[in-house]
Amino acid sequence: MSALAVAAREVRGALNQPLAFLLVGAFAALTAAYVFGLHPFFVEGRATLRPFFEFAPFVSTLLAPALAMRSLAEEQRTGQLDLLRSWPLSTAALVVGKFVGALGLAALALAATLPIPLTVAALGPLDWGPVLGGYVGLLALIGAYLALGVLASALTSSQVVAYVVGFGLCFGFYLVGRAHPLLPAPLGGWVAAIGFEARFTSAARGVLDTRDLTVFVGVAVAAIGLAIEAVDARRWR
Amino acid sequence: MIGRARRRAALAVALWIVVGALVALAGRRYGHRLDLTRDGRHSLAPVTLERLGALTAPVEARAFLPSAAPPPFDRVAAATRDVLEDMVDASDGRVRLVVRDPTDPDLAPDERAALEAEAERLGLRPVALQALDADRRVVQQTVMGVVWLASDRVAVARAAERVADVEHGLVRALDALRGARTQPVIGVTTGHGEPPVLDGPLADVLGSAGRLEAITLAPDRVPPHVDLLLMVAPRRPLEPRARFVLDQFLLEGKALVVVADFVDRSPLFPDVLVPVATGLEPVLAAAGLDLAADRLVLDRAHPAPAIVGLDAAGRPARADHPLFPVATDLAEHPVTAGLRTLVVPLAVPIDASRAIAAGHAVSPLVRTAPSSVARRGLRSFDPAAARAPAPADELPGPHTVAIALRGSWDSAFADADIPPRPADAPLDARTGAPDPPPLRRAVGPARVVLVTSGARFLAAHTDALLMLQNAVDWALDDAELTALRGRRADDPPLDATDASTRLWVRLGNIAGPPLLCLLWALIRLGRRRRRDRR
Repeated sequence: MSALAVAAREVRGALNQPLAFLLVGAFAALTAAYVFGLHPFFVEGRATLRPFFEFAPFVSTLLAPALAMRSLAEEQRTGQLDLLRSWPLSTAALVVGKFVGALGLAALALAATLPIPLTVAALGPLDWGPVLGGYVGLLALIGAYLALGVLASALTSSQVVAYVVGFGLCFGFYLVGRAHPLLPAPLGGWVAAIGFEARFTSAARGVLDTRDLTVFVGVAVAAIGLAIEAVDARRWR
Repeated sequence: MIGRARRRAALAVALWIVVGALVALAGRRYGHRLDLTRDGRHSLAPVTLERLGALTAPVEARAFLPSAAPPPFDRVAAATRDVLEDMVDASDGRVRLVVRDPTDPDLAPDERAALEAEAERLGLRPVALQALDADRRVVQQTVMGVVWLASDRVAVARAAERVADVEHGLVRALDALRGARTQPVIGVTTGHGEPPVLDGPLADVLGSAGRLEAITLAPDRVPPHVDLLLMVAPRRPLEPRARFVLDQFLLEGKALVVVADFVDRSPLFPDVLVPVATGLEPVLAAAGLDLAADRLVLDRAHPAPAIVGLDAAGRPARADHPLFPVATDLAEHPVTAGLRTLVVPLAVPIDASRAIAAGHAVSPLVRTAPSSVARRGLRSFDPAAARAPAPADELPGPHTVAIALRGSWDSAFADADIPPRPADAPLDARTGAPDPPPLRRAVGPARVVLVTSGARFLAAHTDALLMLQNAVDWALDDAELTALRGRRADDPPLDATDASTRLWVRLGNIAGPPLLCLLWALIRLGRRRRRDRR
């Protein structure tokens, strides 16, 4: 059994639960409410998706842990994890599969927001380049958040605890970029380098920079690696 | 056994963190950047790359960029750093970047003072960064800008006001460093009721284009080192001697940018419109530009909001006003590059048919919509008066309210007496010499940009300041760099929408996707139940 099979099983399982639909719908509704309701979109009168990309990273800190919280915690609570270990499946394939499955659901949530750019394009000459860049950057950002959520899910058998820990990690990475001026110089520099909000800025304006995207990939790799170790460590308990 | 497992787990945790950090560091080391915007507006322009390629010796960009600047200057500082880093990458090692942060919280007071002294020694003056913080205005005094250094030469790019100006200012300063350009001198006319441009925010906006100098148009001739005269919203007419000085300045092949009101609200009776005598008409007429100063352009279909009085609580009351027409018909010209909408309050139409017939290069920069009219004899500022049609007094639109012109022409005083110097100033105060012989015919092509809406035009829309900057650059024959600034302008405007469209957009986007999700979930649930029953 491969990681992709685990991912497909994860997506199917999630779509059999009302929670996935609730999360996808809420994500689309919240972002649209911000763009067309809370933000003075029609007052500014610009054909741009900047308000969406300003707000979506914050909403993603709520969405990603919710999508990832049941991935491993639920398997541990129900004892399915021990059953899965009896299958010809490595821990790495299991964790990566769970992550890819959650990423698929996140892509679905992003697809549900496509009416926003389509509406803006109908209202004015929207430049699709920044939209494409923004969505790619947002998927990378959510990928990093999901990896942190999977890590939180690997540390506990309670979905609620997994969500709270996952949200704390995601929100910490989201906020840390804003806190760097308050920290001493060397630490502030390091913290600024991993702050997710600053890393997402260039993607939101239509510039894909590997220097930013690899920070998301690096965090995701480290978090998934740690999740693998956490699942493996349970074997010894 | 457990101790070994713990050590192994700790090692694995450390290893994964190191792997993640290495991935991020590899991305930084071998970074690649892809600009997906339509006109590549977040990448260096070809003209910038050409300037960098022309560098023959290493240069240093010493950037004073406050990390804790208030919005919108934080975006300007970040954009400046981005552009400079791009320039370093594109320069094959010929540009070295040194960044100083004057708001670094770790700086000791003496270190901060030394940093500010260094900036001032290099020619960078402290700037007051104003920002709105909730309901109060905050002013932060700091140094901000970039100094280009090469062996014994220094060129300063002062802090830009907008992100759109950053690359323009840096390239202009780099040109000055290379000696490819001497800093132009912009004469700002005074003495005819103009607002204090040199002491206001306009000075910061125009400072990147050249050195600003106050110029009195009479009795002496304009000094020869002045390249361009800028006249903003004069309120008193130019006397004959000042008109002659301006006429001679243009015949020398220099440039003039005029942003002037020809009609305005009376200071005593604000609801009454009164003509503003500028005395410019004869000078402009010599160039073939005729103003219909007795007519006002109004557009009942495309009005912009204007303050029309005070409400019951004494607060300014706003209403859509036909005398504040929105113009979207902007020329493909360096002066209007990157602009999409302007509001031209109390503008009068320009007739350039004589200039075109004379063979001058004429570009109508801003034209009002076809729904606009030029109304004669309107004396009331009341929007209701402008809304009421008066077909007998109205000329149908569109109307040109801003124009750019280049050409050579005869003096407005070719067939008239030349206004003499006053008796108490018989000699030029600067040179101590009598006037040179008057020119009857131009010795070189002059450039004129004329906007027939003045102070309110500059205040009505943020793009008006950008147009003024572009006009100054174009008049200084700097069209290449003007195009560079236009490339980094704002996102395009939305089409006009009515209230019901906006409501449906909101409802459709907020409620539509959740309803579709609900529908999908119900369909899946139904399928599952049917499958379970089978």
